[in-house]
Amino acid sequence: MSEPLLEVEDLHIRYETETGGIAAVTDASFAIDDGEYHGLVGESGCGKSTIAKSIIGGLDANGRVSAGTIRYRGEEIQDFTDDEYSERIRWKNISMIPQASMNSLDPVMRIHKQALDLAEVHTDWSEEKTMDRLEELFDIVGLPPDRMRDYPHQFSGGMQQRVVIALALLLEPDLIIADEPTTALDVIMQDQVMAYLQNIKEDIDVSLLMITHDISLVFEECDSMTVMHGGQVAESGSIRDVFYDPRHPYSILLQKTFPDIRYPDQELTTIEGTPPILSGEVSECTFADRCPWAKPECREDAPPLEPTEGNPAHVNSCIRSHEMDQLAAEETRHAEVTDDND
Amino acid sequence: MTTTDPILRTDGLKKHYKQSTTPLEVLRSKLTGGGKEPIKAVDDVDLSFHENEISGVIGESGCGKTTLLETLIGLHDPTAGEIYFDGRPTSEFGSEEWHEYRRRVRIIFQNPYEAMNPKFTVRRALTEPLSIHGLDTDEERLYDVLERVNLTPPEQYLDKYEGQLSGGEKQRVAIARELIVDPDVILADEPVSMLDVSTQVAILHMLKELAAEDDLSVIYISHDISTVSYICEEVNVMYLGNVVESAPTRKLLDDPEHPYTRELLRAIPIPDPDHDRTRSNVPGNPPDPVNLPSGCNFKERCPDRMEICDVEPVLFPTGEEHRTKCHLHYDHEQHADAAVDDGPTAAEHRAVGDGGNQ
Repeated sequence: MSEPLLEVEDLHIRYETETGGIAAVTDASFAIDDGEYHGLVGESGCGKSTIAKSIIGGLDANGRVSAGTIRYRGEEIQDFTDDEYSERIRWKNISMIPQASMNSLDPVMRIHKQALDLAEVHTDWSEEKTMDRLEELFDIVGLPPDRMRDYPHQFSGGMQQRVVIALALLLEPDLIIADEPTTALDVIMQDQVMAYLQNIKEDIDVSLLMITHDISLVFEECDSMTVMHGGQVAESGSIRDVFYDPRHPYSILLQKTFPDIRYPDQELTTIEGTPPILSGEVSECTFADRCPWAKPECREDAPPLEPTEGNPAHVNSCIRSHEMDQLAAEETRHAEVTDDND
Repeated sequence: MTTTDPILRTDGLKKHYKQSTTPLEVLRSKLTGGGKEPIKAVDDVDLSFHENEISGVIGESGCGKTTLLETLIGLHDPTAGEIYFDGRPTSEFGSEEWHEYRRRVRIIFQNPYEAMNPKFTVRRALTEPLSIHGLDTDEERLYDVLERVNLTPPEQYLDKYEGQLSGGEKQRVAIARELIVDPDVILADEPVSMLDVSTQVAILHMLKELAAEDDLSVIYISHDISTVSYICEEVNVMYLGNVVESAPTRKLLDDPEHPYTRELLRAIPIPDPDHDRTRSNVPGNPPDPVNLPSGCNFKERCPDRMEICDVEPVLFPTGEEHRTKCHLHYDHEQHADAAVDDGPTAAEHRAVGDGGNQ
């Protein structure tokens, strides 16, 4: 097997604050292959955006990778300096579509000028080559090429989002990281942007790391996924592994909180409690306090990510994962008992 | 669905915004009678809301749902049309009646993180509406309302400040603050869109219970059809100031009539990797509400556009409790014969008219 495009291994990220350190990411691992679309899901504060930022060296000033590695095509990049990231990684190899990215365009610069600037800083491309490439990308994301010379405000929100996607693809990166790419958009616009992201997959050889709280989008648009809770990876595998054979309680329950328009009468589940804020060393499962199946052992040590039996590509961090089938089947009864106690 | 009279009803409600902003422009448009076309944020909306019922209003940003809500609560005077509360037109209300109206019709806002004064304890946040409306602020009432929104045990919450509550708890306090004055109607403007999914469901369940147990009418305004269809018995779809379709939720999901509703439903992602969804087909963006095209507001983006769409369609009863504003769904000759009245006779048109949509 060839080596993955991006490999995150045993990653720990900490933020230093006046009141002490916060463990934002604890022992996270996942990998993305060439041409693969990978979804990273979890609730606010689970560490998903922090991981995204760390991959392009964009952590806030008080954040740092305290242990573990991020490898791009086999090379460790987590200790790169800002200059090295700029020179070797950003835009050319990995580009990022930030949250609310329509605000990331320069409002007083025409789109084609922004593209030419990018190419000038990061490549030795001719002006002509850049413009040809931009035209090709405008076509792929469904924007009329004659609007390349427009200002950002002349586009609607959904179109600005597609402009940002075109710019992210400009320098032929291998990986795009999209942080909540459609949260600010209406559902019809979201659907359009997602359709174009799928076009890109067909037309260009690129991988995607899509960060989102919306598990439906991941099931529809991605090949594989990682579910995070409280800075830990709960489960990672193909979308079908996680959908048909979820092994971590959080991914089991998370799937039951999502309404499915096909079944409006289906009862949805609530996950009690909120994710913990973690100071100091994390030495427990961060989901234990919210988990209906937690045992004392869950609080004794941070659980390691282990492969599911028979499927090394499907990993989870629950020490009871082998019993999950049975426990989840009993869950309905469990819920009734808790209701009575209220 | 419900045979009782609606607690809140709008009749031909319009809210238009003038575009003239400078005094000179206002003067000129007054003198010449001309001036720019107004922005039709809410245009000719007829809706009824009943007790014990949750009704949804859905639409994309800019469809007028927030203006509708602000007009319902009395923040704006309607440009035309009437709002009836408990059978009485609000235009006849004096200041005391408005005061009473504001006790009986309450709003929950989208952002629980900014809804509560950070310097107030939960106790103070809850007693303030009581004292404004001259109601008793006894401890029992506070305990009771906190229990109703599942903040238990109440004594643990009463003296907390906003900063000590989680997002879901903040939204529960925001809801408790409205419930405590014993309202008849709750207007909920995207009440869960800022919350994590795990918390969303709990709030939705709670609204459902409150509507059923406390004789409340909940008007749930949102762009998120998945949550709307989860808790609402009836859904109204808005597009650019108009209600384009109203139907019981199940009916709307199974058999959407208006092309906009159909595409809106198609655009919703399905949490299933092996479900092959047909993507929505709505090119372009909603047009500017300033210079709306004549005829149907949706025609420029409609996959089913016809010649007749240059004429504005009417919101026509196409089935029991189902109304659709689209030329595809009513017989025009029948409608033209009796264009003047729109009440019970409309059902007759249906009987003799386009029966294919039943």
